[in-house]
Amino acid sequence: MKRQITDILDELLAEMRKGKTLDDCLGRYPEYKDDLRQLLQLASDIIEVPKPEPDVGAVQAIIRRIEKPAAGQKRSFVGGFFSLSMMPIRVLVLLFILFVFELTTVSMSAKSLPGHFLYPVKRFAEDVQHFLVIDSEAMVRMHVSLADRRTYEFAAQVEPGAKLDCRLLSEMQDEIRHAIGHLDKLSAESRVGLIEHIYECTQFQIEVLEKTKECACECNIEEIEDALRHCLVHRECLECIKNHLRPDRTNVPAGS
Amino acid sequence: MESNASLLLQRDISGAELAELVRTAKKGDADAISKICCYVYGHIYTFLYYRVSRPEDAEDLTSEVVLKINRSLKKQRGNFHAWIYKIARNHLIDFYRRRAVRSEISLQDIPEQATKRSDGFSKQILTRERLRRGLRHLTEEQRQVVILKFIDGYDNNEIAGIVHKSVGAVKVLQFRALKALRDYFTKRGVHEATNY
Repeated sequence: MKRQITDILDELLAEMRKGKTLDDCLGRYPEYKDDLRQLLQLASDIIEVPKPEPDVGAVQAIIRRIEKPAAGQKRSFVGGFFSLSMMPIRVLVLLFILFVFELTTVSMSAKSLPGHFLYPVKRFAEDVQHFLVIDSEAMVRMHVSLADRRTYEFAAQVEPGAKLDCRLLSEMQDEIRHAIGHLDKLSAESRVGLIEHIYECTQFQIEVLEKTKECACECNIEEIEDALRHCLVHRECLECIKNHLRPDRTNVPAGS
Repeated sequence: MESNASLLLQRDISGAELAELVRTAKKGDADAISKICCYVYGHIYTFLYYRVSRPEDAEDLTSEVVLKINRSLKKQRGNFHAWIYKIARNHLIDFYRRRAVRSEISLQDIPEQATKRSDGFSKQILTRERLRRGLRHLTEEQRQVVILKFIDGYDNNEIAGIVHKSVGAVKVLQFRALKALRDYFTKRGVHEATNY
Protein backbone atom coordinates (compact mmCIF):
# COMPACT_ATOMS: atom_id res chain seq x y z
CA MET A 1 0.00 0.00 0.00
CA LYS A 2 1.36 3.38 -0.99
CA ARG A 3 2.16 5.57 2.02
CA GLN A 4 0.87 9.08 2.20
CA ILE A 5 3.30 11.92 1.75
CA THR A 6 2.29 13.44 5.10
CA ASP A 7 3.42 10.25 6.90
CA ILE A 8 6.65 10.10 4.93
CA LEU A 9 7.44 13.74 5.74
CA ASP A 10 6.80 13.08 9.42
CA GLU A 11 8.99 9.97 9.38
CA LEU A 12 11.87 11.79 7.69
CA LEU A 13 11.58 14.73 10.08
CA ALA A 14 11.93 12.28 12.97
CA GLU A 15 15.01 10.71 11.37
CA MET A 16 16.61 14.10 10.74
CA ARG A 17 16.12 14.90 14.40
CA LYS A 18 17.98 11.74 15.24
CA GLY A 19 20.95 12.99 13.18
CA LYS A 20 20.47 11.64 9.66
CA THR A 21 21.41 13.95 6.81
CA LEU A 22 18.88 15.35 4.37
CA ASP A 23 20.28 13.32 1.47
CA ASP A 24 20.24 10.09 3.47
CA CYS A 25 16.61 10.65 4.26
CA LEU A 26 15.59 11.58 0.74
CA GLY A 27 17.43 8.55 -0.63
CA ARG A 28 14.81 6.29 0.94
CA TYR A 29 11.99 7.88 -1.03
CA PRO A 30 13.40 8.96 -4.42
CA GLU A 31 9.91 9.42 -5.89
CA TYR A 32 9.21 12.21 -3.38
CA LYS A 33 12.70 13.66 -3.47
CA ASP A 34 11.77 16.91 -5.20
CA ASP A 35 8.64 17.53 -3.13
CA LEU A 36 10.19 16.79 0.22
CA ARG A 37 13.65 18.37 -0.10
CA GLN A 38 12.42 21.93 0.32
CA LEU A 39 10.02 21.04 3.07
CA LEU A 40 12.64 19.16 5.09
CA GLN A 41 15.16 21.95 4.56
CA LEU A 42 12.62 24.51 5.71
CA ALA A 43 11.70 22.45 8.79
CA SER A 44 15.38 22.10 9.62
CA ASP A 45 15.86 25.86 9.32
CA ILE A 46 12.87 26.58 11.55
CA ILE A 47 14.27 24.22 14.19
CA GLU A 48 17.53 26.15 14.10
CA VAL A 49 15.87 29.49 14.64
CA PRO A 50 16.83 30.46 18.19
CA LYS A 51 13.94 30.38 20.60
CA PRO A 52 12.70 33.82 21.53
CA GLU A 53 13.88 34.68 25.00
CA PRO A 54 12.06 37.00 27.33
CA ASP A 55 13.75 39.66 29.42
CA VAL A 56 15.28 38.05 32.53
CA GLY A 57 13.93 40.89 34.70
CA ALA A 58 10.36 40.16 33.59
CA VAL A 59 10.73 36.47 34.40
CA GLN A 60 12.25 37.19 37.81
CA ALA A 61 9.56 39.74 38.60
CA ILE A 62 6.79 37.29 37.89
CA ILE A 63 8.45 34.55 39.93
CA ARG A 64 8.90 36.96 42.84
CA ARG A 65 5.19 37.79 42.63
CA ILE A 66 4.26 34.14 42.69
CA GLU A 67 6.61 33.40 45.58
CA LYS A 68 4.66 35.52 48.04
CA PRO A 69 2.62 32.73 49.59
CA ALA A 70 1.51 34.60 52.67
CA ALA A 71 0.14 37.55 50.77
CA GLY A 72 -1.35 35.20 48.21
CA GLN A 73 -3.07 33.11 50.86
CA LYS A 74 -4.51 36.17 52.55
CA ARG A 75 -5.83 37.44 49.25
CA SER A 76 -7.19 34.05 48.29
CA PHE A 77 -9.09 33.78 51.59
CA VAL A 78 -10.67 37.21 51.28
CA GLY A 79 -11.05 36.96 47.51
CA GLY A 80 -12.29 33.40 47.88
CA PHE A 81 -15.15 34.43 50.11
CA PHE A 82 -16.35 36.92 47.52
CA SER A 83 -15.88 34.57 44.58
CA LEU A 84 -18.81 33.10 42.69
CA SER A 85 -18.19 29.58 43.96
CA MET A 86 -18.72 30.82 47.55
CA MET A 87 -22.17 32.20 46.73
CA PRO A 88 -24.21 29.59 48.68
CA ILE A 89 -22.00 30.03 51.76
CA ARG A 90 -22.28 33.80 51.42
CA VAL A 91 -26.06 33.58 51.28
CA LEU A 92 -26.11 31.30 54.35
CA VAL A 93 -23.83 33.65 56.30
CA LEU A 94 -26.00 36.61 55.31
CA LEU A 95 -29.16 34.78 56.37
CA PHE A 96 -27.56 33.82 59.67
CA ILE A 97 -26.52 37.44 60.33
CA LEU A 98 -30.05 38.62 59.47
CA PHE A 99 -31.55 35.96 61.73
CA VAL A 100 -29.33 36.93 64.68
CA PHE A 101 -30.05 40.61 64.06
CA GLU A 102 -33.79 39.96 63.89
CA LEU A 103 -33.75 37.82 67.01
CA THR A 104 -31.80 40.45 68.97
CA THR A 105 -34.06 43.27 67.82
CA VAL A 106 -37.26 41.37 68.57
CA SER A 107 -36.10 40.34 72.03
CA MET A 108 -34.95 43.90 72.74
CA SER A 109 -38.30 45.26 71.60
CA ALA A 110 -40.37 42.90 73.78
CA LYS A 111 -40.51 45.33 76.71
CA SER A 112 -40.81 48.48 74.65
CA LEU A 113 -43.74 50.85 75.19
CA PRO A 114 -45.68 53.04 72.74
CA GLY A 115 -43.45 55.88 71.54
CA HIS A 116 -40.23 53.85 71.83
CA PHE A 117 -38.33 53.37 68.56
CA LEU A 118 -38.52 49.57 68.94
CA TYR A 119 -42.27 49.51 69.60
CA PRO A 120 -43.15 49.09 65.86
CA VAL A 121 -40.81 46.06 65.80
CA LYS A 122 -42.70 44.57 68.72
CA ARG A 123 -46.03 45.09 66.95
CA PHE A 124 -44.66 43.66 63.73
CA ALA A 125 -43.41 40.56 65.57
CA GLU A 126 -46.90 40.18 67.06
CA ASP A 127 -48.47 40.42 63.60
CA VAL A 128 -46.10 37.71 62.35
CA GLN A 129 -46.93 35.56 65.35
CA HIS A 130 -50.66 36.07 64.69
CA PHE A 131 -50.17 35.09 61.07
CA LEU A 132 -48.34 31.89 62.00
CA VAL A 133 -50.80 30.61 64.62
CA ILE A 134 -53.33 28.17 63.18
CA ASP A 135 -54.58 26.22 66.20
CA SER A 136 -57.68 27.80 67.83
CA GLU A 137 -56.55 27.10 71.39
CA ALA A 138 -53.18 28.72 70.73
CA MET A 139 -55.00 31.62 69.08
CA VAL A 140 -57.09 32.22 72.22
CA ARG A 141 -53.95 32.10 74.39
CA MET A 142 -52.22 34.53 72.07
CA HIS A 143 -55.10 37.03 72.18
CA VAL A 144 -55.20 36.85 75.98
CA SER A 145 -51.46 37.40 76.11
CA LEU A 146 -51.78 40.40 73.74
CA ALA A 147 -54.65 41.80 75.82
CA ASP A 148 -52.39 41.54 78.87
CA ARG A 149 -49.59 43.35 77.03
CA ARG A 150 -51.87 46.18 75.88
CA THR A 151 -53.19 46.55 79.44
CA TYR A 152 -49.65 46.78 80.87
CA GLU A 153 -48.71 49.29 78.17
CA PHE A 154 -51.79 51.33 78.97
CA ALA A 155 -51.08 51.21 82.73
CA ALA A 156 -47.46 52.22 82.15
CA GLN A 157 -48.42 55.50 80.49
CA VAL A 158 -50.75 56.59 83.27
CA GLU A 159 -49.58 59.72 85.04
CA PRO A 160 -51.78 61.99 87.19
CA GLY A 161 -53.50 64.52 84.97
CA ALA A 162 -51.67 63.40 81.81
CA LYS A 163 -53.52 62.83 78.53
CA LEU A 164 -53.68 59.13 77.63
CA ASP A 165 -53.24 57.29 74.34
CA CYS A 166 -56.74 55.84 74.06
CA ARG A 167 -55.98 53.66 71.05
CA LEU A 168 -54.66 51.10 73.53
CA LEU A 169 -58.06 51.02 75.23
CA SER A 170 -59.83 49.83 72.14
CA GLU A 171 -57.01 47.35 71.38
CA MET A 172 -57.30 45.87 74.86
CA GLN A 173 -61.01 45.29 74.30
CA ASP A 174 -60.47 43.93 70.80
CA GLU A 175 -58.03 41.26 72.00
CA ILE A 176 -60.49 40.04 74.65
CA ARG A 177 -63.32 40.07 72.10
CA HIS A 178 -61.22 37.99 69.66
CA ALA A 179 -60.30 35.55 72.43
CA ILE A 180 -63.96 35.06 73.36
CA GLY A 181 -64.86 34.76 69.67
CA HIS A 182 -62.42 31.87 69.17
CA LEU A 183 -63.88 29.93 72.12
CA ASP A 184 -66.70 28.78 69.87
CA LYS A 185 -64.28 26.69 67.86
CA LEU A 186 -63.05 24.73 70.89
CA SER A 187 -64.35 21.67 72.67
CA ALA A 188 -66.02 22.04 76.08
CA GLU A 189 -62.94 20.62 77.90
CA SER A 190 -60.55 23.04 76.24
CA ARG A 191 -62.82 25.97 76.94
CA VAL A 192 -62.93 25.49 80.72
CA GLY A 193 -59.29 26.38 81.36
CA LEU A 194 -59.18 29.15 78.77
CA ILE A 195 -62.29 30.94 80.04
CA GLU A 196 -60.68 31.24 83.43
CA HIS A 197 -57.63 32.69 81.77
CA ILE A 198 -59.66 35.27 79.83
CA TYR A 199 -61.66 36.06 82.91
CA GLU A 200 -58.51 36.87 84.91
CA CYS A 201 -57.27 39.12 82.14
CA THR A 202 -60.62 40.95 81.98
CA GLN A 203 -60.60 41.34 85.75
CA PHE A 204 -57.10 42.82 85.53
CA GLN A 205 -58.28 45.26 82.86
CA ILE A 206 -61.18 46.35 85.07
CA GLU A 207 -58.81 46.98 88.00
CA VAL A 208 -56.43 48.99 85.84
CA LEU A 209 -59.22 51.05 84.34
CA GLU A 210 -60.77 51.80 87.73
CA LYS A 211 -57.43 52.97 89.12
CA THR A 212 -56.74 54.99 85.97
CA LYS A 213 -60.13 56.65 86.19
CA GLU A 214 -59.22 58.08 89.59
CA CYS A 215 -56.20 59.98 88.38
CA ALA A 216 -56.85 60.44 84.66
CA CYS A 217 -57.20 63.74 82.86
CA GLU A 218 -60.82 64.82 82.57
CA CYS A 219 -60.69 64.70 78.82
CA ASN A 220 -60.11 60.90 78.99
CA ILE A 221 -62.70 60.02 81.58
CA GLU A 222 -65.46 59.36 79.06
CA GLU A 223 -63.28 56.94 77.02
CA ILE A 224 -62.15 55.12 80.17
CA GLU A 225 -65.72 54.73 81.39
CA ASP A 226 -66.71 53.44 77.99
CA ALA A 227 -63.86 50.86 78.09
CA LEU A 228 -64.82 49.90 81.62
CA ARG A 229 -68.41 49.27 80.52
CA HIS A 230 -67.13 46.98 77.78
CA CYS A 231 -64.96 45.10 80.25
CA LEU A 232 -67.90 44.57 82.54
CA VAL A 233 -69.95 43.25 79.66
CA HIS A 234 -67.08 40.85 78.80
CA ARG A 235 -66.92 39.70 82.40
CA GLU A 236 -70.65 39.06 82.48
CA CYS A 237 -70.48 37.20 79.26
CA LEU A 238 -67.62 35.05 80.57
CA GLU A 239 -69.47 34.34 83.79
CA CYS A 240 -72.43 33.25 81.75
CA ILE A 241 -70.31 30.86 79.72
CA LYS A 242 -68.64 29.58 82.87
CA ASN A 243 -72.07 28.79 84.29
CA HIS A 244 -72.96 26.88 81.18
CA LEU A 245 -69.77 24.88 81.43
CA ARG A 246 -70.27 23.80 85.01
CA PRO A 247 -69.66 20.02 85.47
CA ASP A 248 -73.39 19.30 85.63
CA ARG A 249 -73.91 21.15 82.29
CA THR A 250 -70.93 20.03 80.19
CA ASN A 251 -73.28 18.60 77.56
CA VAL A 252 -74.13 22.13 76.35
CA PRO A 253 -73.17 22.31 72.65
CA ALA A 254 -70.31 24.56 71.49
CA GLY A 255 -71.38 28.10 70.56
CA SER A 256 -74.43 28.13 72.84
CA MET B 1 26.55 29.48 26.18
CA GLU B 2 23.08 29.62 27.68
CA SER B 3 21.73 33.04 28.51
CA ASN B 4 20.40 33.98 31.94
CA ALA B 5 16.84 33.62 30.75
CA SER B 6 17.52 30.09 29.50
CA LEU B 7 18.90 29.13 32.89
CA LEU B 8 15.87 30.61 34.58
CA LEU B 9 13.32 29.05 32.26
CA GLN B 10 13.09 25.30 32.61
CA ARG B 11 11.86 24.37 29.16
CA ASP B 12 12.69 20.67 29.32
CA ILE B 13 10.91 18.71 32.00
CA SER B 14 9.87 15.11 31.43
CA GLY B 15 6.19 14.21 31.43
CA ALA B 16 6.42 12.22 34.67
CA GLU B 17 8.38 14.97 36.39
CA LEU B 18 5.88 17.56 35.24
CA ALA B 19 2.93 15.49 36.44
CA GLU B 20 4.57 15.15 39.86
CA LEU B 21 5.31 18.89 39.97
CA VAL B 22 1.71 19.73 39.10
CA ARG B 23 0.44 17.34 41.77
CA THR B 24 2.71 18.90 44.42
CA ALA B 25 1.96 22.45 43.28
CA LYS B 26 -1.77 21.82 43.64
CA LYS B 27 -1.12 21.10 47.31
CA GLY B 28 0.44 24.54 47.61
CA ASP B 29 4.15 23.66 47.52
CA ALA B 30 5.88 26.98 46.76
CA ASP B 31 8.95 25.36 45.19
CA ALA B 32 6.86 23.26 42.80
CA ILE B 33 4.78 26.29 41.88
CA SER B 34 7.92 28.30 41.05
CA LYS B 35 9.31 25.46 38.93
CA ILE B 36 6.06 25.09 37.02
CA CYS B 37 5.87 28.82 36.41
CA CYS B 38 9.45 28.85 35.09
CA TYR B 39 8.62 25.94 32.81
CA VAL B 40 5.38 27.44 31.60
CA TYR B 41 6.86 30.90 31.08
CA GLY B 42 9.20 29.82 28.28
CA HIS B 43 6.57 27.85 26.41
CA ILE B 44 3.90 30.51 26.67
CA TYR B 45 6.34 33.24 25.67
CA THR B 46 7.25 31.36 22.49
CA PHE B 47 3.58 30.71 21.78
CA LEU B 48 2.70 34.39 22.14
CA TYR B 49 5.88 35.81 20.58
CA TYR B 50 4.85 34.60 17.13
CA ARG B 51 1.33 35.96 17.52
CA VAL B 52 1.90 39.57 18.51
CA SER B 53 3.92 42.24 16.76
CA ARG B 54 6.13 43.36 19.65
CA PRO B 55 8.25 41.24 22.02
CA GLU B 56 7.25 43.57 24.90
CA ASP B 57 3.59 42.67 24.34
CA ALA B 58 4.52 39.01 24.37
CA GLU B 59 6.32 39.52 27.70
CA ASP B 60 3.41 41.36 29.30
CA LEU B 61 0.91 38.83 28.08
CA THR B 62 3.08 35.93 29.20
CA SER B 63 3.35 37.37 32.70
CA GLU B 64 -0.42 37.77 32.88
CA VAL B 65 -1.01 34.25 31.58
CA VAL B 66 1.49 32.75 34.06
CA LEU B 67 -0.25 34.54 36.92
CA LYS B 68 -3.58 33.26 35.67
CA ILE B 69 -2.20 29.72 35.47
CA ASN B 70 -0.81 30.05 38.99
CA ARG B 71 -4.14 31.28 40.31
CA SER B 72 -6.20 28.49 38.78
CA LEU B 73 -3.68 25.67 39.08
CA LYS B 74 -5.74 23.91 41.74
CA LYS B 75 -8.68 23.65 39.34
CA GLN B 76 -6.57 22.14 36.53
CA ARG B 77 -7.84 18.82 35.16
CA GLY B 78 -6.80 16.72 32.14
CA ASN B 79 -3.93 17.48 29.75
CA PHE B 80 -1.71 20.11 31.38
CA HIS B 81 -0.23 21.42 28.12
CA ALA B 82 -3.64 21.68 26.46
CA TRP B 83 -4.83 23.58 29.53
CA ILE B 84 -2.01 26.15 29.59
CA TYR B 85 -2.25 26.84 25.85
CA LYS B 86 -6.00 27.22 26.14
CA ILE B 87 -5.52 29.86 28.83
CA ALA B 88 -2.89 31.60 26.69
CA ARG B 89 -5.10 31.53 23.60
CA ASN B 90 -8.10 32.94 25.48
CA HIS B 91 -5.92 35.63 27.01
CA LEU B 92 -4.62 36.57 23.60
CA ILE B 93 -8.17 36.89 22.30
CA ASP B 94 -8.97 39.16 25.25
CA PHE B 95 -5.87 41.20 24.51
CA TYR B 96 -6.99 41.89 20.95
CA ARG B 97 -10.52 42.55 22.07
CA ARG B 98 -9.31 44.95 24.78
CA ARG B 99 -7.18 46.95 22.46
CA ALA B 100 -9.58 46.60 19.58
CA VAL B 101 -6.59 45.70 17.45
CA ARG B 102 -8.08 43.45 14.89
CA SER B 103 -5.21 43.85 12.51
CA GLU B 104 -1.78 44.29 13.97
CA ILE B 105 0.80 46.54 12.38
CA SER B 106 1.64 44.59 9.28
CA LEU B 107 5.01 42.98 9.59
CA GLN B 108 5.35 43.35 5.86
CA ASP B 109 5.57 47.10 6.41
CA ILE B 110 8.76 46.72 8.38
CA PRO B 111 11.70 47.00 6.03
CA GLU B 112 13.98 44.03 5.78
CA GLN B 113 17.19 46.06 5.74
CA ALA B 114 18.38 44.22 8.84
CA THR B 115 19.14 41.26 6.57
CA LYS B 116 22.06 43.18 5.12
CA ARG B 117 23.75 43.43 8.50
CA SER B 118 26.42 40.93 9.18
CA ASP B 119 26.60 40.64 12.98
CA GLY B 120 25.10 37.52 14.52
CA PHE B 121 22.59 39.30 16.74
CA SER B 122 20.88 41.12 13.90
CA LYS B 123 20.82 38.01 11.83
CA GLN B 124 19.13 36.09 14.63
CA ILE B 125 16.44 38.73 15.09
CA LEU B 126 15.92 38.84 11.37
CA THR B 127 15.40 35.11 11.11
CA ARG B 128 12.83 35.20 13.88
CA GLU B 129 11.18 38.17 12.24
CA ARG B 130 11.10 36.44 8.88
CA LEU B 131 9.62 33.36 10.43
CA ARG B 132 7.06 35.46 12.22
CA ARG B 133 6.07 37.06 8.94
CA GLY B 134 5.75 33.66 7.33
CA LEU B 135 3.71 32.25 10.21
CA ARG B 136 1.22 35.06 9.83
CA HIS B 137 0.24 33.60 6.47
CA LEU B 138 -0.74 30.26 7.94
CA THR B 139 -4.04 29.28 9.46
CA GLU B 140 -4.22 29.34 13.27
CA GLU B 141 -4.02 25.55 13.47
CA GLN B 142 -1.09 25.32 11.04
CA ARG B 143 0.75 28.06 12.92
CA GLN B 144 0.21 26.30 16.22
CA VAL B 145 1.50 23.00 14.87
CA VAL B 146 4.66 24.63 13.46
CA ILE B 147 5.38 26.46 16.72
CA LEU B 148 4.71 23.44 18.91
CA LYS B 149 6.62 21.00 16.73
CA PHE B 150 9.61 22.86 15.34
CA ILE B 151 10.11 25.64 17.85
CA ASP B 152 8.89 24.16 21.12
CA GLY B 153 9.89 20.58 20.29
CA TYR B 154 6.71 18.70 21.20
CA ASP B 155 6.08 15.31 19.60
CA ASN B 156 3.00 14.49 17.53
CA ASN B 157 1.11 12.83 20.38
CA GLU B 158 1.59 15.85 22.64
CA ILE B 159 0.54 18.23 19.86
CA ALA B 160 -2.54 16.12 19.15
CA GLY B 161 -3.50 16.45 22.82
CA ILE B 162 -2.95 20.20 22.80
CA VAL B 163 -4.83 20.97 19.59
CA HIS B 164 -7.48 18.31 20.24
CA LYS B 165 -6.89 16.53 16.93
CA SER B 166 -5.71 13.08 15.87
CA VAL B 167 -2.04 12.40 15.18
CA GLY B 168 -2.94 11.89 11.50
CA ALA B 169 -4.56 15.33 11.39
CA VAL B 170 -1.47 16.84 13.01
CA LYS B 171 0.74 15.30 10.27
CA VAL B 172 -1.52 16.75 7.59
CA LEU B 173 -1.45 20.17 9.25
CA GLN B 174 2.34 19.97 9.48
CA PHE B 175 2.67 19.11 5.79
CA ARG B 176 0.33 21.87 4.67
CA ALA B 177 1.96 24.40 6.98
CA LEU B 178 5.45 23.68 5.61
CA LYS B 179 4.15 23.85 2.05
CA ALA B 180 2.43 27.18 2.70
CA LEU B 181 5.58 28.57 4.32
CA ARG B 182 7.73 27.36 1.45
CA ASP B 183 5.39 29.03 -1.05
CA TYR B 184 5.43 32.24 0.96
CA PHE B 185 9.22 32.35 1.23
CA THR B 186 9.63 31.46 -2.42
CA LYS B 187 7.29 34.26 -3.44
CA ARG B 188 9.14 36.71 -1.19
CA GLY B 189 12.48 35.77 -2.67
CA VAL B 190 13.87 34.38 0.54
CA HIS B 191 15.07 31.43 -1.48
CA GLU B 192 18.19 33.43 -2.33
CA ALA B 193 19.40 32.82 1.17
CA THR B 194 17.74 29.58 2.02
CA ASN B 195 17.24 27.93 -1.36
CA TYR B 196 13.65 26.70 -0.79
